[in-house]
Amino acid sequence: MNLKKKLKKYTEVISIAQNELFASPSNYIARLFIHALRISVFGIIYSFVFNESGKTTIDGFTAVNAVWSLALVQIIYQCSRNTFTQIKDEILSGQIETKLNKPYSFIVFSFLDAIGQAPAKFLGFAAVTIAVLITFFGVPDFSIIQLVGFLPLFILGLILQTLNLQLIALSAFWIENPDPVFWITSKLTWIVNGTFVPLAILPIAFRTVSDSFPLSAPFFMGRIFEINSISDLGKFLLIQLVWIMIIMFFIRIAYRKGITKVSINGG
Amino acid sequence: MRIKKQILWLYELMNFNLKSVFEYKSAFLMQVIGMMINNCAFIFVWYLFFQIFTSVNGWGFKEMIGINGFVALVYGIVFTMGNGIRKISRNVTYGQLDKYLVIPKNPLLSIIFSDAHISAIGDLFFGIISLVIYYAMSNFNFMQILVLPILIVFAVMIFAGFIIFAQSVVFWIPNSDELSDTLFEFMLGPSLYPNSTFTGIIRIFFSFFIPALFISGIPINIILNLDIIEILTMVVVAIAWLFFAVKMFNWGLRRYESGNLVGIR
Repeated sequence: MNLKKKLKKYTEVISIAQNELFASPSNYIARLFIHALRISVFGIIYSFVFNESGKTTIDGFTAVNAVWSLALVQIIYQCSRNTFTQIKDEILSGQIETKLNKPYSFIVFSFLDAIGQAPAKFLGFAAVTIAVLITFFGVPDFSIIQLVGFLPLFILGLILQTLNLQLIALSAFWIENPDPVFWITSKLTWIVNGTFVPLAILPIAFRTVSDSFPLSAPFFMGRIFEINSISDLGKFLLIQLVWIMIIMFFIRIAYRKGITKVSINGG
Repeated sequence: MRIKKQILWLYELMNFNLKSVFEYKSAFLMQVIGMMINNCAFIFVWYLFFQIFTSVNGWGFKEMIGINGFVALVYGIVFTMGNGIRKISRNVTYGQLDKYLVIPKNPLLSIIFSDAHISAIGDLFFGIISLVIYYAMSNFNFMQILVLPILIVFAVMIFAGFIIFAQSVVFWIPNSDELSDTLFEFMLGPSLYPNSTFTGIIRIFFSFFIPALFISGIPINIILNLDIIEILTMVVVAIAWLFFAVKMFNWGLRRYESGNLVGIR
């Protein structure tokens, strides 16, 4: 009964988050349009770079693979919500005190609020990505294992990305302004996750280092072309799962310690 | 007299913001150094890229140092001096613009200069160092050195203008923080690629509609070729973008409905 009540409560959070997305459809549509433009630009750049260099493949990786890779990284970005700003603002403004006495977990609430829009966003952004890439740049040869890997890599990636942002935001309990931490980690993420340059064309040593970052693991969906067997897919999923566990552990500790620092003022 | 007062007030605001940033010295140093290391890693990725592709339409690793340095410097200047520029949309969404409207100063300038971004100082230093390295590697003449500060001023105007535009969208599309961020990243992304990959319509689009190339590749091109037409175009684009952005903010401000939050500044 208790579990049923909890499920109902948290399902409501997801539902509210989704309604929020469709409350201003122009915002959503504009983002879809920009996404289409952005991946088209990636496509033009990498088609140009490969053509100009006279190379058709790099370790079996083609210009079409590169474009798909970059576009898939973008899908994770577009589907995750900036939970960092929300949590940070609530901590810094002291509004968190009004959430602590509510009959829900603040962390679970903000997590579900952040990923609540993901299914609807995923459908929209995936549809636009597929339409643009197929129309203008072509379809790479996907193997069955790569097609199977998409969804679990996306789901775990999105969960990990949201948890990463939550953990960074919780630093607001200790430091006066966590924005720079967010900025530095965001920029580092661009480097290690293949936002600008697909990791598949970079040396193996760089990829190995990148694998060990919790910041790059959410974006493994962009490395789908490096998956050639079930063990490759298993390795990526395992890394994501391990990081989810570790980050959840740290969030738990940070939150428990952090809320002891909240001072509630009357008035 | 009025302009002098405005400048003095802006100076005081920036001074205050920077003093509060310098107050926590270890945090300040950590963030500045952290951002510089980050940017170096970015350069390293481009180094790896050019190990594979050698050059892209005549542009190589050296030009990428110049581009990354120029973008970092422009980014660093804008956000070190006025980090509030990225908070316009959020302030409007949460009805927090009122506190800037009640003071007898220009509201746009009040918001822009309300905050300083510590790690942007790291970008600023990184930009200066990268450009020094780029100039040292290129053996430029006196004119090519002289043109740099002028280009920085106009690039800052374009960058700031575009951000004001992206943030002002909120007056027409509610809850558009994420859209503003997406627009911002849509501009920043292409600016970090070799300029020579943009040709034809794409080049026009990223020069005038999303002026990414005017804060990266085009200034580097101007330094290389000292083309007066390109310089004049950049001046016109800078004035046009800033003018348009300020107008758009002011039009949007008329649509702003005050929030019920009480705050002082």
